[in-house]
Amino acid sequence: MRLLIITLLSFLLSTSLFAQSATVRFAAWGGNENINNWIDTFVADELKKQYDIDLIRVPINDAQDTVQKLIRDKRRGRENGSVDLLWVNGENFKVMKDNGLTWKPFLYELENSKLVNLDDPTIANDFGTLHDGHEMPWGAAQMVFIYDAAKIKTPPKTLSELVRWIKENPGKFTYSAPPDFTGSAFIRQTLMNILGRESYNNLARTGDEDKLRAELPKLWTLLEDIAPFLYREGEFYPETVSKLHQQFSDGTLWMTMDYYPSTAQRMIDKGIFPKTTKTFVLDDGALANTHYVTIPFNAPSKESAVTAANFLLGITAQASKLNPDNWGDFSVLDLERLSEQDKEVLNSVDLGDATLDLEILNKAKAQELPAAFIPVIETEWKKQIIQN
Amino acid sequence: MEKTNNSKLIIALLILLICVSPFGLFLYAFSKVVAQSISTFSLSSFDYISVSDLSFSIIISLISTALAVLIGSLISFHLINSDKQKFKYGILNIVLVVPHLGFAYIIYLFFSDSGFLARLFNLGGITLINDQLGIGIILNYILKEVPFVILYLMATHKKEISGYIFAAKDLGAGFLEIFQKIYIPLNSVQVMSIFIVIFAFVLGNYEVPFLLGANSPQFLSVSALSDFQSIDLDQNIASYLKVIIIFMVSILISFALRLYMRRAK
Repeated sequence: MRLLIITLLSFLLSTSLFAQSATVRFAAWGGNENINNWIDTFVADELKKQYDIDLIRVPINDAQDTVQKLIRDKRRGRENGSVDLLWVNGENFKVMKDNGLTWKPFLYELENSKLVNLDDPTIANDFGTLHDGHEMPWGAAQMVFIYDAAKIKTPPKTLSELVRWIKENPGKFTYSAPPDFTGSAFIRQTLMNILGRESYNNLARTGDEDKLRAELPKLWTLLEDIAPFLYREGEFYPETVSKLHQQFSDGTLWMTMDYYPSTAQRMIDKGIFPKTTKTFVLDDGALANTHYVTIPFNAPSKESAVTAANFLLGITAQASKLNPDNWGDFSVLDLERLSEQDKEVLNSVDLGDATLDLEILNKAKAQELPAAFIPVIETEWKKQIIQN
Repeated sequence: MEKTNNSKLIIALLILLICVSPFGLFLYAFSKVVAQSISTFSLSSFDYISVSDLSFSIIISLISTALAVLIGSLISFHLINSDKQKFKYGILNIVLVVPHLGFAYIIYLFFSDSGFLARLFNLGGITLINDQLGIGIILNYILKEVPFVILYLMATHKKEISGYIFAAKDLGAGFLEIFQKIYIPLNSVQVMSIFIVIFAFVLGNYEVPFLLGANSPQFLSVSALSDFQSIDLDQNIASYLKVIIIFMVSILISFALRLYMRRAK
């Protein structure tokens, strides 16, 4: 065991010793080949060309591992870390912020941060944690419903219309059982649709668990009300969203859902969904979240990391990232703050017929609940809907 | 000389591997619980462990294991007495190379309500998988484990048992009578050990009940993983507790079986 630690430590030490000032080590989740490829080619090439920065992508399984390492670094006082830029999610960012593992509010120094609406609640807080500039918004995701226009002429516009549609078409709708991410998001979104945006936003801002528990019965009433009209009369909720997609593609279900607005188009391109597939959001609001990059306290080349971050937030990188051929991840830039020319660059990216326009998505945008609420809702759902 | 040394080394390594991996997991789980309990352990972790889930896991595992062992030993007994042994066994062997996840997916594709069988025949909305009785899970384990039981029983088959079987046949005993009174009693040790191996596996397996099980009752192994991934600390600890429970139940069942065997003798 001691041998293992020594080997690991010497490995870490050697990597940081050899790191030069113009090298940026970017730790990012490595599970998607498209994303990896985009970072390795477009981002790395542009950074080298424009700023003479060598970008090294460090593939990680889970940002949690990197955060654990940073905690150990902090405890030992190691100032020369191994990561300059870290792609992070809400839960891990909270741990980082609570433990002082981030560098400083670098976001406000970035030239391109002027292009972002930092007051937008979906951007200002990361699953309930205010980032105060310690991380930079990088991309956005939003919940959409997926349907086949050949079967449904006019998709529902509000929650009550959706409920009516479910009751008129028994067995054609369901959602995946939490802890599946998408099913859990659908439940939170339905809560938001029931409460209305204003009181929902209040609830999200206060983060008061007692208030949440007081509101939950309304949600269970609605979900119990629709349960008999769901797939298999609500006796079984598929355990993953991919089963939902599969049943949508074979016609068992007439609707499915996804947290990525571009998934439907990707599935059409792969030939899995019918060509007539479209997406919609409810006027009552659709959950959106933002993903971020941050700079750890002990990043060896902080200045270059700032340059790289600023580049990632710029119009060129954001438009390239939006292109479904590269990644299809949505931009965090505020259309109103862009010049006409830049707006055109973003709007000219061909998202495909199934993906909604940015303006429709932006109008429906609603923030996520604090991360601590999620297990509460999931556990209660199981008690109320499954075990009753 | 060297050969025996080598084989001893290999056996030692194998034993080490077999013992250390589950035991290591147990130790890890246990140390986590102890470490966390000192600072934060609360009884609310136990809220995440439901009695119905626990009894469901144990009962379904017992049923699937018992059926698989029974059918497997019947078939292996039949194979021993038949001519085209190798050919018949070769067909069953195909199942052995498919991993459990792959096999569970095949079952899903066949038996789900939009699956192969539902399309061929109108089953009238009867679904055999994701049901609260665990039929899909049992079906999967029977089909998957039967070849394994046969493989084991045929590999450990002793020549002299065949002699007894011939003698019984000459004296006019029927198939079932020989199976019940000669084959099983003479193979009791093998049957029992294969039972324990399969039971421990089935109880701890994650992917089959995840894919083919209902939302509730749920296998402990399935909820253990989602508890493990939760950010709630109590739920996290519940995950370790579940691993320990699974481990304990396996040990208890094997002890009970051994005790029963000793009594029977």
